[in-house]
Amino acid sequence: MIKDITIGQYFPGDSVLHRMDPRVKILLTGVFIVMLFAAKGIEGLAVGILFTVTAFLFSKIPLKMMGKSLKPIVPIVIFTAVLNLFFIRTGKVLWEWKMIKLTQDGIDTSLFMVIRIICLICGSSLLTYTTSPIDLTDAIERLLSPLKKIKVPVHELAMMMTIALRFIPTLIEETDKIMSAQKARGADMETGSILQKAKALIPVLIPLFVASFRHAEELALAMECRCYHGGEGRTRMKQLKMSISDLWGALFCTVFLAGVIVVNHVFG
Amino acid sequence: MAVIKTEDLTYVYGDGTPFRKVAVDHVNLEIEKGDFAGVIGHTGSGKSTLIQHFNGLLKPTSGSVYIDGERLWDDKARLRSIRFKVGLVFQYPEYQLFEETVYKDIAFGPKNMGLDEEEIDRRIKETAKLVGLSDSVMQKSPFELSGGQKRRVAIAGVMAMEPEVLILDEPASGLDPKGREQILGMIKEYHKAKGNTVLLVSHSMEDIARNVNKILVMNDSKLFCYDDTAKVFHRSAELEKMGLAVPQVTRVFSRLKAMGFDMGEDVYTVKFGSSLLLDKLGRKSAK
Repeated sequence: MIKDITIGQYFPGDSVLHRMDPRVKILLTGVFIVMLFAAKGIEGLAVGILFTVTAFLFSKIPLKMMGKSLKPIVPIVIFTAVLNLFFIRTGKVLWEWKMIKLTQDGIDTSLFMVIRIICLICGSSLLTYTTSPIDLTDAIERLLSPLKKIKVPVHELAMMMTIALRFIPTLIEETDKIMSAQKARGADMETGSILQKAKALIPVLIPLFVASFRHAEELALAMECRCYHGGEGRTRMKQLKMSISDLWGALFCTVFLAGVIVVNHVFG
Repeated sequence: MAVIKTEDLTYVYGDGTPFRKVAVDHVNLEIEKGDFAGVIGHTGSGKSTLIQHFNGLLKPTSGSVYIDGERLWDDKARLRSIRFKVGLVFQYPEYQLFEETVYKDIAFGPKNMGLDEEEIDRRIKETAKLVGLSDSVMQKSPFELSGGQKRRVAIAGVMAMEPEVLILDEPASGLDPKGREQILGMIKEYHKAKGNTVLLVSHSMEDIARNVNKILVMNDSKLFCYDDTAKVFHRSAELEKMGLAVPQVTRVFSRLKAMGFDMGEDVYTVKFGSSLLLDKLGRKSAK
């Protein structure tokens, strides 16, 4: 079913990470990425791993969901590993065959890279797992609001993003309904050549197109009826507020970042 | 033999996620050929999910559906022919129109069946007449028509496939009283003309009572009952507990009975009720 596709990948819950201010979460994700790239050796990376695991435990996201977000990057991981394995030619040679040389350095580096990518994906997907798309756009709007000074239409962009996100499930539902309706009339969308399949989409795409225009018109009218006139002087129902857990989060993150730097010095 | 039969039919939405919901829960049902059945139930009671199993749009999570004795989903390739046998008209079907002309849109279903031009033309003309679409409308774009007319075109698109079972999900919703009357009238006409099985999902007890001979009640994902109209409306107390009202006229007569004027309980159309009242009054005045 097309309905089962999740948009964004928000996983509702009530953990500390869920309750944190989305602005802080975005910034801390940035810090987290810096932390991972600051690590010079496997020891520094260990601190990064510890951070990722701790954050993951705090988020109370099932391990299965994490696996799901790792699936699409499996090819990249394999590619990186292979590249590093065979193209690093320094260090002790462990095995050699014609042009191919396997060295201790190669193995170390590719392991390091793979772990770093996995940590990177797991850690940053915690942001999207614990923050609803709407909260995320809100936070982005607030974080970008200084750009208003140089005439960037931040509010309008954020509003467009919010509306787009808001209508994705609606349009998916609509697509589902129209597809069912045409299937009920005997439309065959599964078999045939590519050309035939493309043709079979016409009975779905045209009503969908008409529907999106209808939605846009209705929404514009409804917004105007409620006196929407852009972002100026607009207040929000859901105020973003920082709380004690954000402070803890920031502190936690800083400690680990410092940890990585210290470890780098000690072992470097 | 029952034309539609279900055995422990169960359907679960979003299994394995926090959004998991059982929409249809162990439904056992037999609908006989030629029945004109009303399907009622609260919003979210599982009616729409249930009917989408009858033509193989949804695959049961567990349990089975039989159409004319044939078990669905045993052979996926057969599903398409099942859909020609069991026609389903969705809610607000006018949103599925897509062709350049009304004629072509109605032809979409029959064409998919692989019928020849002549047969398609005959069916379109026949259905157009049945649903009251004039020749001048047939060459127009469906997007130019009024809401009520679009609805007719969409329903005609399924009727033209001449399915053995016609299922309609709220075919009259969102229309004015006159439009409702016309749509329901033409469905009744179709049932009479073809003698085919018709399932009508509706929220309006009045519409149901006036048209159908059997009623299927869904409550909280479960089948509450499937029985003759009179027998179902007899259980008005239970229906009201589910938040479903019996027709207003039935309530008037049960209130009258409570007040000491017993005129029978099987009153569920205004027409029948008023004739009863007239009879009663007539006798009284004769005394």
